[in-house]
Amino acid sequence: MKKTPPKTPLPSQSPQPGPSDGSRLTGDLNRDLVVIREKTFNTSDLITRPITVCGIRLCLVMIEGMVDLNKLDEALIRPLLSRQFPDADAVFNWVEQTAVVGDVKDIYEYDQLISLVMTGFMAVLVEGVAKSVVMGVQGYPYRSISEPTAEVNEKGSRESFTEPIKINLTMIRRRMRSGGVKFEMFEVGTVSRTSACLVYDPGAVSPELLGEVRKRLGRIRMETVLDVGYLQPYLEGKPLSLFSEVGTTERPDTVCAKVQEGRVAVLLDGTPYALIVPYLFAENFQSFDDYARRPYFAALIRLLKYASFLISMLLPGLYVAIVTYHPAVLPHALLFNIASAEEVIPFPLMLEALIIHFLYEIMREAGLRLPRPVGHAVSIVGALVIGDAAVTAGIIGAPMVMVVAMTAISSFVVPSLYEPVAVLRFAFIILGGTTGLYGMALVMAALLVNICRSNSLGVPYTAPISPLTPRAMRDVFIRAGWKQLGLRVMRLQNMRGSDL
Amino acid sequence: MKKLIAALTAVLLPFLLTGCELVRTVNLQNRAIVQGVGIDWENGEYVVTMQIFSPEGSGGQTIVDPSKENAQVITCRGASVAEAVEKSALSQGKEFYLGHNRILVLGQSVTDQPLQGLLSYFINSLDSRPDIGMLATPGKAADILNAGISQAILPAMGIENTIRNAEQSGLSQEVFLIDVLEELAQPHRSTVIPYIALSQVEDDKKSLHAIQLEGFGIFGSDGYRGRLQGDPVRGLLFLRDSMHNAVYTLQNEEYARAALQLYQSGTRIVPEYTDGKLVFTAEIESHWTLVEKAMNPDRAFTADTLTRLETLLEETVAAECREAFRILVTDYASDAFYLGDLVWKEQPELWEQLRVDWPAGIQNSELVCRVEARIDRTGLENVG
Amino acid sequence: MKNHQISAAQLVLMLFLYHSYNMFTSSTHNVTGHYGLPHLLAIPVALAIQVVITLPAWLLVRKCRRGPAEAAVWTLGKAGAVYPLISSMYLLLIMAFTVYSMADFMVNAIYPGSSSAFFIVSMVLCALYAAYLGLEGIARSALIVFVLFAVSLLLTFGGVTGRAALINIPPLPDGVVSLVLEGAWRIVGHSSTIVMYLLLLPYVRSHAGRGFGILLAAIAVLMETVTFFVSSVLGELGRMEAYPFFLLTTIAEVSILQRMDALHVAVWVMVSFLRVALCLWVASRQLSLCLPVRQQASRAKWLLPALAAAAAGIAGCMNQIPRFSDGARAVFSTGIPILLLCAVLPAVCLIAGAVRHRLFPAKAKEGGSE
Repeated sequence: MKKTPPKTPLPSQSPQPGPSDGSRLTGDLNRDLVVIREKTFNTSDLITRPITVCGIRLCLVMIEGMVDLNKLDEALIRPLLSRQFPDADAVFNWVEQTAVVGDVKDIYEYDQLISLVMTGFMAVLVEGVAKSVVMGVQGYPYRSISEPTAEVNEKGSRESFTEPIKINLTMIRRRMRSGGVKFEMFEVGTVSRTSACLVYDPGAVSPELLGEVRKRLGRIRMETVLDVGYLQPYLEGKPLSLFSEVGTTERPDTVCAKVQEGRVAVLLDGTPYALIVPYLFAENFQSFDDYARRPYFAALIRLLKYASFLISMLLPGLYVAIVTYHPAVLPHALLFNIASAEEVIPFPLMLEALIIHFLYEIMREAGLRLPRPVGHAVSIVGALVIGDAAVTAGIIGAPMVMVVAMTAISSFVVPSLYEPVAVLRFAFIILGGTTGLYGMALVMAALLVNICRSNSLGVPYTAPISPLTPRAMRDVFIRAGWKQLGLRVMRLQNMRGSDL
Repeated sequence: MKKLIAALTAVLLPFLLTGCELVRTVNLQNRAIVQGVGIDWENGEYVVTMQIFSPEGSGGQTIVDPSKENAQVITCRGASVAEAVEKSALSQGKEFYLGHNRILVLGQSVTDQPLQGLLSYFINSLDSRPDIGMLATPGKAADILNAGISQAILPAMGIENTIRNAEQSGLSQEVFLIDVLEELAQPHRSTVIPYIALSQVEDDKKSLHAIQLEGFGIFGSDGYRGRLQGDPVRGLLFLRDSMHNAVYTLQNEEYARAALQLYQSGTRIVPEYTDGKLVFTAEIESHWTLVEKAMNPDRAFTADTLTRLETLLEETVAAECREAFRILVTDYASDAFYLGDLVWKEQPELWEQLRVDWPAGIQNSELVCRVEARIDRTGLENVG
Repeated sequence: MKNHQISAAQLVLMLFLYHSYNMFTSSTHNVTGHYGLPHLLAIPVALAIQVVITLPAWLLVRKCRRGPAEAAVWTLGKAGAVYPLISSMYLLLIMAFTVYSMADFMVNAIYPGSSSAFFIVSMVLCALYAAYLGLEGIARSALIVFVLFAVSLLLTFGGVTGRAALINIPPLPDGVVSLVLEGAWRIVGHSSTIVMYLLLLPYVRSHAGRGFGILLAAIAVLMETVTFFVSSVLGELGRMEAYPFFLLTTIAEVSILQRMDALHVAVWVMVSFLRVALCLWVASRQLSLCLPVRQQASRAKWLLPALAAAAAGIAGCMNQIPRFSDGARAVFSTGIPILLLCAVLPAVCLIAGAVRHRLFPAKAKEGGSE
């Protein structure tokens, strides 16, 4: 029988009010403001705007540029100034209960007040009242919702996550309206206090999985967390492994689909993509477009992706190994062409492959970092350097250029695996050039055992391929039709070999 | 522990790049890709001729010009084939690579030697492939490999294509090294190897050497036994069940000329021992297409005439088979038709008696050939 | 100790690959000097013998609800350590012979002029790594390697089907019964697969008995198919060749691809890697059973590298001194280790268990221990 693990509290869940210890608001407006300024090191973007209503002093505390001043004026200041209040408590109660804004909370402590003000809330302090009311009147500028850059789709939604976490959560909620998806907010980073959120479906997720995710996130002891990628090593079982057990996505529809399968998503304020755990190897080859296309075409594209992965990883090494050690495999005419091309090349084939692939990586990285106006120059230089000049100069052979081209194009078909593939490619080139197919096969087998051995938070990383879960294979190499897929959602707990 | 392993790996890995050879490496630039090998015997030593790939491109690095020979011929001598190959290092700077060798030509001078010993170098060589095309020549193997054939990228490829084309036309059979070895693995069997010879074709600009197939050589485990040429070659192919396509041109009182093309054939040989004599009954079932005909004057193209043509065809094929049998079995005492295996399978006790001197056993044997020829495709013309 | 669990299907696939290694690099399938009908007949007879010979071990497993090695310790006490000791030494010998024969094959057939030591050391090191990762990794990767192996087999058989001729299979010789029985016993002697299956029973979740039957049947089908093709394609040549199945792959041509034997050999390398890794892992587990219970956890981590080093050393000796490899072959051919581990020792344990009242009543449900 499965035990429900104890709920591990996430960092920075709201503390309950306790006895006074110098950390609580006093009600003395001047004093409170002095303490707030001290705690924020007199930062110049902290605005304190005093207001007097019926002789009662108030102060609005906010960060410049993070508050929507129009909304504030309309919802609070004008109504406030047009009313009459007998005392400070009346003012406070009116502000707390009547002001037409979204999120309203009572705050008793300086640290909490400052923390919320820093996220765009506005605090109202009333003379004589030893608490404050904070209001969600955020109005900071942010990047609008745009198309995904890394997960481009032909059909399907063109929305991708943006930086504010609230907007991202809204995008998810718009797609999952039944209330089955839960958002669990928490903070990470002792200095940055960045808002983060766990997204999961309580009816689908395994309690063990959820507990484990909370436990791993609870180990975070960083001062500043600026990107959700900072959290990735904490969620991974083996951070040094070549293949990541944590997935990323910039699409809200992908998050919704994954959450339905019993996975947990982690969003972070300021990052336009989400982490998904657990993440299985087969998911690298799935994209949202697959589900918008006809099944037969989606199956073809899936198989193409697997083939592209293998080509991008193995083709250069195979080429070097076969031409150097096992040329009998090649058809005669092909071997003659290669032999003619390699006749005048001064380097052994392995070195030639290493040089050209190294050059390619340099150009790819340069193309990423260069400013856009100059970026197109990289492609021209690349085409000239690799495509023509190097071949004409006799530094590399034309067949090797073909190999590089096929490898490069294939590697972009599965962008999520680019990093491990790039490293393994070099390894296999060296193996192929020094030990032939024997070395490549041996290391490939060892790598296979390494991948198969991995468990992503209790789920075998190579599931549902191995251990084989036949019912789940309907969405691995092929994509079954929606009538079949929609019958019963395949959850992680149902995968063979799963510890959940 | 993990850090120690990672550090050790990082230190050891660069050794892979230092040039220390864990596995013996020969770069492609240092390989001489052999396309054809010829073996002769002169003055008590082997003369090994190798045709290697030497590109003569027309400009671009990778373009191999098929109109040029793209070949270089190297000759070397030694007390053994292996020694001859090794001595080639004295005259050229690359290591021979036999992995893409297409043909192996045996000169007449060397065919008297037992084939297994002769071919032992190619059997044991790691690079050598078992599907090398076997050929023999009445002259010198070196002459064949030196012939300036320009039909394919290399002359050896042209020779190989010629053999293949001949097989598809029912004029010869492609015999591979593995076939020869497999057939000679049983001491009672013989094998056949296609014979080729040079022929000269003149044109306006220069002489183009070409090769011509001239039947088969018959080889036993002790060496060369004889030749088979002409029409009996087709009989041989029928009896070996290797005939897939052939054109027979016949004539009789009705047909001035009738060309028949075989499209399907199957042969089954059954041994019988009657009155102290081995009789092999060959049943050949064949299907033909009438591809060309010219009727004699006042003769109609009818089903009856077709039937008589079939009878003529059957007699012709049977005669060729009997002739092939007579030459191979009776004259040369060679079992190139798996006759011994058939006797062994059907009548093991008889085989135990005959295997002691099988050549003598089959020399007295007889072939009864029953051919069934069906001309069931006559083209677009209606049969009257 | 960490609890490893695999399914019966994974076990069957893994051991199918384990056994298929036998046909790559040796002519151990030769029966009295040639392939052919006696060997084709010997295979099903060997299957029957394997079923019968393992009955005492299965009974022991059922009665003690443990694997045979664990049951030996359970029924015989300290003296029961002789079972895991013998099994671990047997597996060590198999591992060393596998590595040696793979290295020998590589330098004779694929990489002329290369150093055998490189192949021995590299194979052992990689297998050590895989064994260190554990049984689940090896078992899961077996499915993927099996797919590659199946493709390789299909391509080989498909490429040579056109050359198969029944005439190449000699008819039954005299004394066929004794030939068949001798051949069957030789096959059984080389079937360490059945020992491996029994030793892995504690790690199988369920349906182990059914899996055993499926495994034996699959192996028999594989051996029959390989023997048929080698006999019908190569005939007498198959007997003379050192690596007949390898020769088959060299002549199997598919479409424009020429010799694909190098690609097939790459798959065989993966298969032999899994075999060595599995042997290493199981041997270390068996050897750990010989240690006192309190020391098993602490000393177990040194067993893997120690066994790996021993295997590499023995393989190196086999490579340098032919008598060692001949001796290993002789040990396998006698079938004594199989007999001991599957029949004799389990029977002794059953008797001891009955005397010491250590046997459980019969359980209706089949499966692994616990």
